[in-house]
Amino acid sequence: MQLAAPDRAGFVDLGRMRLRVWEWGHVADPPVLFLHGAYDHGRMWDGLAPRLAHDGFRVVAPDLRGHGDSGRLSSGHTWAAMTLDLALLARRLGPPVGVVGHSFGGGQALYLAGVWPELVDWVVNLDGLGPPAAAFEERDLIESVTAGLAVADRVRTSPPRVFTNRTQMAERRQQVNGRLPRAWIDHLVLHGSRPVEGGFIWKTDPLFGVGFPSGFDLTFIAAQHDLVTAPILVLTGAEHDTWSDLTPGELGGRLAHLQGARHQVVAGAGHYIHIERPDEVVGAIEGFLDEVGA
Amino acid sequence: MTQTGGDTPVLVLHDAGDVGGGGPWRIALTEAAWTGPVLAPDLPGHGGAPAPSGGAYEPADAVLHVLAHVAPDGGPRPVVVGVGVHGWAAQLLALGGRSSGLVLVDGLGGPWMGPVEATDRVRRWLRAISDDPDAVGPPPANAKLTWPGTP
Repeated sequence: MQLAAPDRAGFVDLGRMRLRVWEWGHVADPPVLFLHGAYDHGRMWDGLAPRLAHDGFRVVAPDLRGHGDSGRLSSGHTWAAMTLDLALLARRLGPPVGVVGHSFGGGQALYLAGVWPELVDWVVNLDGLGPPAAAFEERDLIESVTAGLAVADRVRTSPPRVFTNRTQMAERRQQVNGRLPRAWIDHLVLHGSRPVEGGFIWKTDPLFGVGFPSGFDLTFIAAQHDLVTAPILVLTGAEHDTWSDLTPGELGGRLAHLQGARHQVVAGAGHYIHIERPDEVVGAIEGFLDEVGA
Repeated sequence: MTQTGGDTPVLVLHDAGDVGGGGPWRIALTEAAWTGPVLAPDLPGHGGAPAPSGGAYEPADAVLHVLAHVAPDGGPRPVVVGVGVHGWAAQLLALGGRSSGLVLVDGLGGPWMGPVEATDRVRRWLRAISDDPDAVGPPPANAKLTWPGTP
């Protein structure tokens, strides 16, 4: 595992939201946004970002709102507000920008490219084509709302869980992401937690986990994906893993709504493709950028 | 109007853009002799409530701002009145068993839209926000919709 701390670290004030931003590479090089997934943060790019910076890009990796050191959430529904943050950030970087996104961040990358095509030159999506169909199967409405209210009650009345030490947090994270090497787990925990009295808490805003039923389903994902006109590289891992839930048939269905997307399956990788197989991911991105002339 | 309500609280979720937030509802229900507690909070950016931090708000979030009034062990469940776009938040509280009655005031939502039309509408809305300096700039101090005489 080869990691390089960011060349620059700072905050960007977007008017209504303040984002923590990590950067690698020369300021004058073409900008690329690196977007982490849900419950992660910008330092998950300490492996991939320096390599793209070495290739001649200015890598800018924000902590998404409600994550890492960025501003807290005011809403239980953050998808559109997060994308708006990214559009405002891209405008400041001198668009168009390239965008590399993992998981939830991959979805954000596609939505950004769909809503503001003039801001996005190309997209690399790392296993981020949305939840499986099963996630949208109709549940009993009363049951769903009751469960959503219970989570909201807990966030309102209970302080975040305090872990005695970061080792406990790493053990918890390892249970969820069993394929990640322990050194990477420790890195994600170190930058994804903050000290409080009596121990440590996760940086991610607990409000991020609050939500109520809505009409959003696969037809909306398809409609969002249909908007994207930028060249897209989709990478998925060959191995079964947490949060890699699409069946091959579902994956094909999603790709059919991304015009001109190239898709590569990376052997020996699960959901965190860029962490498990960095050389293959760098090679695929370089090949894609050569092909699209970026 | 005769006295009504008993000890039952009434909880009003005023509409988005209602000048004065919950103020007019507090006056109206008190003067109409609702005998239980009258709860008509100012939702974010209205009346005395500051704009939502981070600038993000959507109608279901009204639920988060009134949770303390509808806690599962928090005493008598209120009659919940949802006005306009907050009809949906009122329905969520009713579906979750947090209200003893549901009143919708013009709160049935807009016309049905398919995913393509709805996605295009949100796309245009987001682009308009991103181009509006007032929408994405820092909120001016004391930027609230107020109504003279609101208590």
